[in-house]
Amino acid sequence: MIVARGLTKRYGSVTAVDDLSFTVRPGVVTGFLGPNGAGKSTTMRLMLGLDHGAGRTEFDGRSYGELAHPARTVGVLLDARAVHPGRTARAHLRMIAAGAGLPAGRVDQALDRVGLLDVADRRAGGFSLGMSQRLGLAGALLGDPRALMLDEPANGLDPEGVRWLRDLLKGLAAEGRTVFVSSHLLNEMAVLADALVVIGQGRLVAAESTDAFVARNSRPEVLVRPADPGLLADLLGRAGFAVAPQPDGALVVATHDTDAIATIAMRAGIVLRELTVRHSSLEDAFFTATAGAAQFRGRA
Amino acid sequence: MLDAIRYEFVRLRSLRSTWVLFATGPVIQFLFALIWATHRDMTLQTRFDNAFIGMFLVLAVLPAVAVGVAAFGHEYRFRTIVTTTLTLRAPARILGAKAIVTALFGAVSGAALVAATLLAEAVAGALFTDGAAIGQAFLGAVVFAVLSCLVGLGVAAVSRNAVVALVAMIAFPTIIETLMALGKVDASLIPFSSAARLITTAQWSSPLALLVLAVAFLALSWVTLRRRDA
Repeated sequence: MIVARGLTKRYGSVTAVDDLSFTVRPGVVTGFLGPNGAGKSTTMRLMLGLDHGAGRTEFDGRSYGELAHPARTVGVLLDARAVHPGRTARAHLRMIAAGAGLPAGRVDQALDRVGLLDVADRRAGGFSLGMSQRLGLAGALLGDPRALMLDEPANGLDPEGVRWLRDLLKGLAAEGRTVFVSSHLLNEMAVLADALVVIGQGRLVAAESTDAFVARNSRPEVLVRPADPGLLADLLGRAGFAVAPQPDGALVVATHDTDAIATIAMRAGIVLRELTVRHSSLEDAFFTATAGAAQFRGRA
Repeated sequence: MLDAIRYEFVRLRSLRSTWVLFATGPVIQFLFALIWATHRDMTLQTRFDNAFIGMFLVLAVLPAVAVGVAAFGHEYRFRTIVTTTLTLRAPARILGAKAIVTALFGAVSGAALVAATLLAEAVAGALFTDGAAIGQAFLGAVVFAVLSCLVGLGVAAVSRNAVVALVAMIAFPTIIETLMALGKVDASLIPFSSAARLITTAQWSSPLALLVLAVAFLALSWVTLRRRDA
């Protein structure tokens, strides 16, 4: 389990991370979301003691600096490109294994697990971003750790790689490990993460299960396509429902109560061609939750 | 600490550039020594000593210094300092391991310079055989190379920039020390030039200024590592 308490980081007058506290539980994949510049990477660095700031993060009750065997406790991937380009993949991992007091035999096991064994003796400078991500993951998995902290591990992976990563992380969580993953890929996170920690402008926005987050940050909606939209809209309005007529003749009703809509339509003899509950996506919920927290916005 | 030293050894030996730079110094020294060895008008001792004077020694040691500089410079250039910090954690352990391995590399490089000099003289048929003087040169070259490499390591740690550190390590013994000499600064206070004298004379205090410089930069490195974000 990872417990972060009161994490704060200031750069002069700017507060990049503002009193963040959350818990990352074992056995599930916990996604770490936030707009660009929200402070995700800084938070991860603070958690590991790489940046100086306030607060404390405990991995099974101890800070990273207090761990007896950090590589066996927390596997970390913060920057996949942070490898000397002249060093081979195998040498890079051998170096980490030597420093962490791990047996050299773990190196090839880790390379095999991420699918890089065949290119183990190639220099990392020639690796694609996807291969670098896999090498970074191999480094994180080297000590067979109880917890994983990964910053944007899906960046640069091809679709097969993204699927592989999803299965790998879900598998590791199923083994009872604590998996904490940041990502910009909301659709991927919707499939991967069982729980979420969401931040905006350095502050905690949410720390809950993915389902609870989506439910809390989405409006209930039913799409109904009646034979007589005008009459049904009028009847639903009188019954107290908020109705939004659509250009194609459909109605969007702010409720999850399809039974009530069906009953009103049936009593008025209106034929319904479609009656669908519209589920909000994690993307919709994320934008609702972080509205106003995005630091950088472009124009379409 | 042993794991940290192992980490540094793997880091050092797993790069081709380490071996290229390790070989470059003795090759440069061999060529200098070969030139001096052909000066038949000089005594064998003079030819041997001249191979280590002034810019010759600075240039021959420079590749080894570059390895010392790279020990920290590359960490920041390729952002591997994060991996190093996460693996070794304590700043003292990181700095200590780098200093030990860099010093060992410097010692071997310094000894190789003397070996290259003797080889050049043997090739030229002018082998210097005075055991005491050769021993003195071994000691002096090792001390000079070790301290130079440690200063390079410290400058790179403080500047966090390999290029800046390397330029400083070239400029200091060449330009700054020349200006110091022209400014009539006490010769024993000119670090590199004074330390180089140990190669030819048993002046045991001559490397003191370079030692102080190395210790000062390593201390600054430790403070920098502790205070700044990785």
